[in-house]
Amino acid sequence: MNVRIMDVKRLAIHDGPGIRTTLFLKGCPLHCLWCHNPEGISGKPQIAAYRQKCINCGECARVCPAGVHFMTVDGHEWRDENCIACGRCEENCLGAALKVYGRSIGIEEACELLLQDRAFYAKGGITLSGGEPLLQPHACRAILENMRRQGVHTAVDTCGAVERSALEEVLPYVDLFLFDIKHMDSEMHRKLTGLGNELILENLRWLSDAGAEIEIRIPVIPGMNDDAANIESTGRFLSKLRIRRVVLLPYHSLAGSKYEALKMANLMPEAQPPARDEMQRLADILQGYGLRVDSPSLRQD
Amino acid sequence: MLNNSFEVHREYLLHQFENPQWLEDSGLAPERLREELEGIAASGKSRLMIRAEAIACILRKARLSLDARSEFGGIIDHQDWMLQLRDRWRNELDAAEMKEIADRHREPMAGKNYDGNADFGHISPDWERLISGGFPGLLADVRKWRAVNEEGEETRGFYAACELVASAILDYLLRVAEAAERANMPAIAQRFRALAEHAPDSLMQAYQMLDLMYILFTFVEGENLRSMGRVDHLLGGLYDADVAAGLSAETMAENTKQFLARLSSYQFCANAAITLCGVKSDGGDATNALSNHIIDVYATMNIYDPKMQIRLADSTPRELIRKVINCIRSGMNSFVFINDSVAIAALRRMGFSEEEARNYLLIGCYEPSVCGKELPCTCNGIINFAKLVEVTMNDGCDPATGIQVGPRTGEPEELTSFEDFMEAYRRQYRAFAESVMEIINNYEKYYYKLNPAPVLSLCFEDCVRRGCDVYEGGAKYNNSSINSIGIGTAADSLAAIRKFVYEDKLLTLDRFAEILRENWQGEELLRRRCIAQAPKYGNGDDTVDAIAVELAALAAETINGRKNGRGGIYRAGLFSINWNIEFGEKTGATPDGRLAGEPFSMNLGASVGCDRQGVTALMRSVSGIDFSRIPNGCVLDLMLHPSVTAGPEGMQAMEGILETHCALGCFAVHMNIFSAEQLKAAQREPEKYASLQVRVCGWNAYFVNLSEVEQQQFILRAEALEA
Repeated sequence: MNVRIMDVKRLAIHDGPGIRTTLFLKGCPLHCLWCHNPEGISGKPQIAAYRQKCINCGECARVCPAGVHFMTVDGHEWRDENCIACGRCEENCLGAALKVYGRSIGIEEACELLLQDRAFYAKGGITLSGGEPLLQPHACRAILENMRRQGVHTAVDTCGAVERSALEEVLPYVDLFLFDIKHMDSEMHRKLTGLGNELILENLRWLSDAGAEIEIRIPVIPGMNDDAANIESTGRFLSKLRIRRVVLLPYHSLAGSKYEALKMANLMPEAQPPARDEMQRLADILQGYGLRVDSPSLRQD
Repeated sequence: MLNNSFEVHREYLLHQFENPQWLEDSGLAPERLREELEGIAASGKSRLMIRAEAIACILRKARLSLDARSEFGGIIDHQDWMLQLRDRWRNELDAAEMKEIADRHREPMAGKNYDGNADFGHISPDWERLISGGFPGLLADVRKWRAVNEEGEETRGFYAACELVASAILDYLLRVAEAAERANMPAIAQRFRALAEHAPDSLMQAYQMLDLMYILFTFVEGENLRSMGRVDHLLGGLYDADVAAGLSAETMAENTKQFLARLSSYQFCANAAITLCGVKSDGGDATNALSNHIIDVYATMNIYDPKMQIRLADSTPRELIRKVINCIRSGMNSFVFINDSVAIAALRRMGFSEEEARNYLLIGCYEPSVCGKELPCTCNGIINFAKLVEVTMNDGCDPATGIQVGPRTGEPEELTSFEDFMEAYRRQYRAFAESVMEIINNYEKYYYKLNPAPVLSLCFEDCVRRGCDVYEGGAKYNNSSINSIGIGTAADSLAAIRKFVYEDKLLTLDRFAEILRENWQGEELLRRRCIAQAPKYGNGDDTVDAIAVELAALAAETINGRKNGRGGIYRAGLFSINWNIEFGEKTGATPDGRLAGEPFSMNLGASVGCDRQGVTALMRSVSGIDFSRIPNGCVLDLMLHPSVTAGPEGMQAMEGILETHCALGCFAVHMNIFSAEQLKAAQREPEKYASLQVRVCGWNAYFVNLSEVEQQQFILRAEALEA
């Protein structure tokens, strides 16, 4: 069995408790306007090419087995329809200008990747994220089961717009769910992410009833979901569930160069990160519903 | 004393050794003093006696300085005379007995292939004996052993010299006391009288004694004191007594601030360090109330000296570790963490007993040394791992000069496998090591002519008992050290040779050597290939990390335990200080893609910018080395991004990094927390970033005061993090 991944992040400290390694799986049922990992949306292999680092050496064209890369008079060009995500272009690029997303690896290799930093997991563990990891539920289950057997703490970062069966399959092996909530109004949710939110909220209710450990993540996007009404509605909904805590994540628009490198249209909203007192106001609303709230922008060091 | 005296007089206190105001009639005018000293130097007596008489003369007759803003006395107009005397003797020696060896090694050393030297710059005395017996105890001990032990002429000469110096020290203390009285500084007068009469019986007296030792060693006798000892362990009882006597917290904080400011004010680049925490000789935890007090006070001062060395044992309290982490996070990062169990294991392997090993302090930056028993000389020699690659590719020749600096180990065509190349490399390394040891051993034969040291000898019980000078083998352990530098660049270069010459057969070794001699002229694509397509140390890639492990083992097996010239042994170290820049300037282009003259890798780190898999991978790479076989120490420089250190998660991350560092068996680590953006901004607007401290090596500096080359190294490292 294989799993299609896009990245591995080490020394991850915001993807669950302690020091973790996060494995990002490719493919997502949503396409949020503010997405910072646009390479995660499609489930197919993709190339990101950073033009300013390219030195036109032609190595990528030389080593590519699938005819993705070619050199023209205007420099390096590529078409990733036939990309098999073998990674050879990235390995051989003399300018360190290429990144391959969507390598397909075996479960054993995935587990090895995750266990490399095992020495650091005394208070940490591993997290599956993406994209949406639960679009590959069998692979997730296999990895998580392995991690459990090895005594490593497991977390899954999910948007919730997935089959119930996927959640059922992984539940026994997950120590912590990191569950996103984008908007309580389904129409608005569709406008922002491409899908309504009914399935998401049902899945969340189900997880809570099933006794799962849940941490809610709310990306705070100014002008889109940060109005008091939405946050009140969110607080009301969550107060009826078993939630460990809510984390408010302030929006930032630093992923621009990645969109360009992927040749994807950048639909990220033009907005400044929300101000500290704004985040405090939202936190206060949620705390009013008896929820524990945290945010990187509200920290006292 | 004024409340808040440190804050009020901060500028003065941090520079109190600069331009001291000499008290009127407190001593001879400089010209007169120098006349007397020159007379002593020309007396024809033994060099030990000359030094003893000169020291006594300075202590009894040089001018004194006191200032009401400082709680410390003792500044004396030493004129740097003793250092100048030693320089004269050194020049004589270099021109005479050492000439032949110096001539033979001059060009290889100029080419920074290796370096060998005398080392009078890394000492620390028997602090426990000093504190328990005080200055009077030193005199009493000399007299006691003199009566028992005066055998030959040399021993008699030794005791005469030491007794002279021990009395002169007491005279100096009384002179300062009188001057303090005349200058209306009763507290200082009282302390100096007390120190002249008995062992220190208050914390301030003890602090003053530590300060006086610095003055006596570094300024008067002329060897560099490089550890103030395990100050918490040493003075914890006196601290507790102050607390019990009802001294207010404010007064105690002010006293300690004055002390730390005094240490900071020596302004000696690598300064004198304070070792804290760790375990006691019986294995119990040594952290105490004073350990916490010192860190608490230090955290409020915003200074970058003295250096603090935290001996991290399993039993070291979490709370203290968190305090230190918070200091580092708020920009005061003049801390290094030492893995206690590895340091102790390394010392055990060198032959020290368990009890001795547990009571180690750190000389200089991170060199473990047994307190009171060992003269470790931690910076005698340097071997350039990176340049050895170049030399091996050129059959023992330094291509920069055309000089044969090592043995003939094979023309490129003769090295037909990677194993052949590695064998040649090892032979070159061993030959370099022999050269370095030859130089050092020969200098050590003449230490009695260069630096007989009565003050330091007084401070070693074994010297006084045996009647033998500390630089002549009087201490129980008389060791020397050699540091091998550029391990990251060397490992990367060997990996590149293995891949492109022997595996892919992209080019011959001969052609490769030619390209490097021409500094990659016309071969930029190949250079990029060597950078991008060959494995790099520091990324958790075992294929190249294993080479670094081998190089470390090569250093250990070649150097550890070899006999030096003073009846002791050599210790292998892997720290580079900032020699990676200086030696890099004379190191040609290397197979890892580095251009000629560029800095090579520093300490245990990856070649700059080549660690692209983050901190965990770097630590895993480094952990392959067996540090229990590197007794002279080394350090891993970690650059952390602010996003990983902020908030409660950041605290947990840093704690986790330290825990894992120890669990992996690594030796020493220190941290810089910067984004590349921050450092570039500091480069552009230095006025705005005047107080930004960076951990340079085993010490800190203000970033804006570093050279552009040094600044660039930091920026490259921060950028690699964000890759």
